[in-house]
Amino acid sequence: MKKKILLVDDSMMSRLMIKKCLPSSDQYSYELQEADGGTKCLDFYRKAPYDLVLLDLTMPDMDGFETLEKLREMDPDARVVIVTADIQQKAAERVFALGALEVVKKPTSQEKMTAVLEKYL
Amino acid sequence: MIDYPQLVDNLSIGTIVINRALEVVLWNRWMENHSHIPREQILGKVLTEEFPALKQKGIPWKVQTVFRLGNFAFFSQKLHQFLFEFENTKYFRPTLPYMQQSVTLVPLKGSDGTVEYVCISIFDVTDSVLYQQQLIESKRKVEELSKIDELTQINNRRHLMTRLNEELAVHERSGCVLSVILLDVDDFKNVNDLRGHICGDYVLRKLAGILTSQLRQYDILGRYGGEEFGIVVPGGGIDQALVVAERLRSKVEKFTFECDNNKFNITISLGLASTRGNLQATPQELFKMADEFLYRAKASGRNCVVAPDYKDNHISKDSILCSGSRDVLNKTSPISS
Amino acid sequence: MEALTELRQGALQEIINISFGRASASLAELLKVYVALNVPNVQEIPQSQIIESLEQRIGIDTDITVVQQSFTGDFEGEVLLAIPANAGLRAIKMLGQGRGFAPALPATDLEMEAFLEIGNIVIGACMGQFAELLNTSLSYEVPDILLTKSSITNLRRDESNKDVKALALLIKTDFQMGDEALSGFLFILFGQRWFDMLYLALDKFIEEMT
Repeated sequence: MKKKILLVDDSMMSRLMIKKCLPSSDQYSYELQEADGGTKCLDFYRKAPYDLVLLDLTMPDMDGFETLEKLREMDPDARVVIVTADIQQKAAERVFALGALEVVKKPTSQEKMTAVLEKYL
Repeated sequence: MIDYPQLVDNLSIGTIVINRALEVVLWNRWMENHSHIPREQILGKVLTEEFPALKQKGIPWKVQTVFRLGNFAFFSQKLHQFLFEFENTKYFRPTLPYMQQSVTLVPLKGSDGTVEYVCISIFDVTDSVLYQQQLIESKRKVEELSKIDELTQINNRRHLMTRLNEELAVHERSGCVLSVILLDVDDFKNVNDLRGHICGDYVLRKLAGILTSQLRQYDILGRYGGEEFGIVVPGGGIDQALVVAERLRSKVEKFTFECDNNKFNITISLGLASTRGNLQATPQELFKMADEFLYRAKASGRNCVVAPDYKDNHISKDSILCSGSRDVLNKTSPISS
Repeated sequence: MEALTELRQGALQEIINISFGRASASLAELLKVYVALNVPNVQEIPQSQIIESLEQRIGIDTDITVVQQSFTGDFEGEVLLAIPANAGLRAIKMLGQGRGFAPALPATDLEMEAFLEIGNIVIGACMGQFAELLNTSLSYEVPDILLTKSSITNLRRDESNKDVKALALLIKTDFQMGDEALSGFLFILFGQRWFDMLYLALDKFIEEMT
């Protein structure tokens, strides 16, 4: 069965950049969906859970911290990897406390994203 | 190939390079000349230990940020005047006790992008600081000149009215009463006609001096016109202004003027007005009112103070407060206490 | 002149986002505080409307202090950092706690020095990262305080610059430093002359990244 990935980022450019780093879908057999904000992410997830959520932190409608918190409330097993430009230690501590699996720094790379998929799918 | 050491030595900019331990690795000739420290003596030494004053100037912090963030840092002449206490060496021009300096700290990065050294450039900005000071001073002088009456060196009428306007705005907000005094030299025409204009000018100058010496610091005195002077008494009602006015009248009456070996006395008449009952009064309205009472003072025999008397915040036309020479006092009602 | 397409705008926003992210990490390490970032906003506006749009974004009733710094290199422009007027003491405290910022100056000068220092660090860190992402480097001029505890309406632009059609690129971001909540707005202005260079660099970035 195909795994489902949700990519959450308000910036179209950022989504493009992340998608470029993801391995091809036949190589890893996954289905990718995009959400341009925290609210939409929660809506999508409520309808049907995803196997992995790639989540940005700085977003205008609902930031990544809040989205992560609500997501994990909805589904305590939600698997979330943070992809962010906020690379401060404090930010990482906060998202790990909220149950994130890993923090990937922007701009990311193909090696990095392949490793993430390998590990969490 | 350009000879860079030669270039650095011939720059008319102080150039120092330090490493992470703050040890001096470059000290150009400009620095040698102004600090009188030859490079052999300072190379390898810790800069902030050779110049402990740099610590007070916040240099370690700035160097730190350059090493850690790789950014430029600056040291403002406006705030610090100078980084190094270098004497100015200009003999033929006005100058300042110490060379004014603007300083830039620049990161020098290695091939891997990390900051290896910090270059400190010291610019001598004494001349531009001097020009700026001169400019500010001339601007101040022009402003001052446009406010001061040339003969008496007190406020001119325009500035007196401006100040009164400012005071009125403050008083209106606070609800406090403000008073003004308008005074005029009695028979000044006689002084001019009998003793000449030079003597007349002397009387006005001297009078301005007497008035100034008798007023409080926050009272505002100005030359209103020819031999007329206006005074603003902030935060005071008529009673307070009356005390001030009477003190002025009595001081002037007792003062002996001396001109061309002739000794003589003069007297002044004073009219008062206040914003009581009319906090929105304009400067013109106030001085017009004071002028009416000044006219009454002249009509009552001069050398006296005449002020409005208030009943329930309205001026009572019949009852006038007055003080002055004995014969005037006898003719009118005494001052209410 | 080619326009600021959606793609370029997105790229610029992302570059600012990444560079400010890196800048805040260095600031966080240096000042030992958490720097909260917001999504940057990029807009193309006529130069004649810079003051008006700053007024709109900051509000004319707020008293602010504005630090200005010019940068030169492959692109030229200036950065304005607007900090609320009452932030002076918090700034001094934060720098002092951070790492021995304590020059011997009278109180008002110390406040100005703290503003200049914060301005220089924030501007230098952000623009440094920005330049690095675009494979170039920038030089900076002495920062200046344009406005001291006053409304943005008191900021006057150079009236000699009569080219009302000239465009500027205005990038706004707000940040918040530490629990003391020292917040501010950062505006980057590029003059139109440098758009070509900037767009070229952006297109190259887009090509490499997507």
